[in-house]
Amino acid sequence: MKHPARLLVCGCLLLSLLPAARLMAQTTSPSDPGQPAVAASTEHPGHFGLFHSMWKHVKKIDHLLPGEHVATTSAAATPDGSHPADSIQITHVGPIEDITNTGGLSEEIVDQKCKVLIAPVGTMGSAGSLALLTGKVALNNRFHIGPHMSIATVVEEASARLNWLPAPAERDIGKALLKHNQDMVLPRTGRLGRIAYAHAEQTLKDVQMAAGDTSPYHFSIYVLKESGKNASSLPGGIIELDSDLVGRDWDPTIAYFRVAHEMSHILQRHETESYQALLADSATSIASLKDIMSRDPSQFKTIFAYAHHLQSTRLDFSGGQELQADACAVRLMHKQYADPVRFTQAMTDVESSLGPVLDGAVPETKTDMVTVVQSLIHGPYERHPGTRERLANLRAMAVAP
Amino acid sequence: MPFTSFSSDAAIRPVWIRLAILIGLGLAGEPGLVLADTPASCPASFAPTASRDSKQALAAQLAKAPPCQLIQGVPKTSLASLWQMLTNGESTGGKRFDTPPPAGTPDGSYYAPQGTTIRFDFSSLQAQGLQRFVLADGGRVLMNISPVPSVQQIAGLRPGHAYHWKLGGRHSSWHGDFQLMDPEDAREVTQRLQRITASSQPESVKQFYRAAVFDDEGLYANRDQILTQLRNGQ
Repeated sequence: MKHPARLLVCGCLLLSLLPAARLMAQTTSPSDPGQPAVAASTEHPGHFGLFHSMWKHVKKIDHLLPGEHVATTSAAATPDGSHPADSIQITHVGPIEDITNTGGLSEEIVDQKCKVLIAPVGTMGSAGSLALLTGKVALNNRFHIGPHMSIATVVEEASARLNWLPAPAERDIGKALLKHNQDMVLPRTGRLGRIAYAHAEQTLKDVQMAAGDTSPYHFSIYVLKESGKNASSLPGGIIELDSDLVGRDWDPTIAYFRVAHEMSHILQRHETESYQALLADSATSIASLKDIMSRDPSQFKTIFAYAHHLQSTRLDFSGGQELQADACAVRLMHKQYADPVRFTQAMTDVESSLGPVLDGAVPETKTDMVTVVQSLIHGPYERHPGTRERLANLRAMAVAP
Repeated sequence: MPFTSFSSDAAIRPVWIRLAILIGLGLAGEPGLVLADTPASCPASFAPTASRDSKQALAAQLAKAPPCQLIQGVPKTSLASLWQMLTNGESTGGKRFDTPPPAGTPDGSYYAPQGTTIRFDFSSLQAQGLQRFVLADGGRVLMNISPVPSVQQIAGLRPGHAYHWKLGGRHSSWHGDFQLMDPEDAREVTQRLQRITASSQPESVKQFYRAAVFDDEGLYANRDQILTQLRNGQ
């Protein structure tokens, strides 16, 4: 095997499918392939595959988040503190995709119209997609339909594009990130806390109502002791809001849009995809790095070329996700403000709350040294499209949501 | 804003305990310093960080001053969480709606130390090729400058008034709204800060306590300015 590390992720994915197949046998088939199935039995919560087993070892962090408040849940917690939603989430089957393009590592053109509000989740769908892809490549190679392709390479690249990280692992990643921020969380007991959480929970409730009850997540909302009116989302259903967004000067429309935007990130599994991509890309990146270093490690240009290579695979990934989350938020806004006049006014308010449009700004380029280095330092999650780009996308959505 | 945030359990203490604290205040010889709690009930601990940096020096100074010897009005829980904020850095992870401005940039409710003068520090954004800074009061532009200096002091602002600022870089933009505290609320903050200034603690410890006051008052931009300075060893 030429690059054993490059196949690590694919191997783990395939291994994770074996127990999932057993679970599939216990699962009632949904009438609609796009809808989640419901487990007939939840007596074997550990049968989620290798990744879930791995995450169970670090699941102790559940107990390290004092005062976690679930604003709205679809079901009550069980006596042992676990949430039934977790045992439902993993049974999502997801559709089988016909993967037609595997190039460019994890780079992906996301649907900026948000045609589907909730991204399909499920290892079984991923398994089917990979099996279909493998069959196509094998047929191609056997009958010389096109250029010969390495099945291993094609499958490993495709695996970066599929949703295969189990939902419990998503939640654990979110909780671990939240734990890092827990000193920033505003207590509910103070004057500001009472006001802010009342507004935050009302906003979340409104957005959830618009999103419908088919979400596989139960959402938790936290108010951070941060100035500004920012909002953020963590994998698995955690939303964080700056206290100014829901404080005394609460603007329900602005708060609604921002919570809808963040909920869309979660429902589209955006950050989870980033983590999956990091796992998948790191395997191939290590191989790429070895390759580059074996050529000429002493030259700065070589290292820059590698940095540029990494950055170029990730920049569009994040920016496209922001536009998609905006589009999904517009869809949710449209449900909240059904009256066209109110909807138009609400979108005008949202637009005016965005950052300034830059006159004379130059478009971001992937070859800009500063951009390359900063994107590597800050990670793949921080790149935002410019306001002009966001406005254009919002207006296109507002015309035909 | 009422002065009720000495500690969360202080309100239920009998009057004689408060008197004892006041006597202790006199014995301590430092205005504003009180021995608030027994060490066992004090959650604040300032373990030195592993790295050799300014935080390690601050931890050593805070360790010399008993952790529970609080500046009057600083809740001990704030000190504990503030220390974690200082050592952990800014919030991490997540998909954010907006690109946040540098920590400490005036945003939200803001306390101006000199009453009407505020300070913007964009030094961490200089590599972004900053092009224009605009400060507006409603629809009226008060300042429109290009190029943008690393640090910009702005005087003559009106307390209790809301302002909006925008900053444009080569590729990105930032914006924020801030409101200078009205004089009545600012007076109480000033009193709390004066008690800290009057103490004989090292300046970095005073700064840490000031950040705790700002955190308690919901003046997060002011708090973050100090935390940034402490992280940078200033």
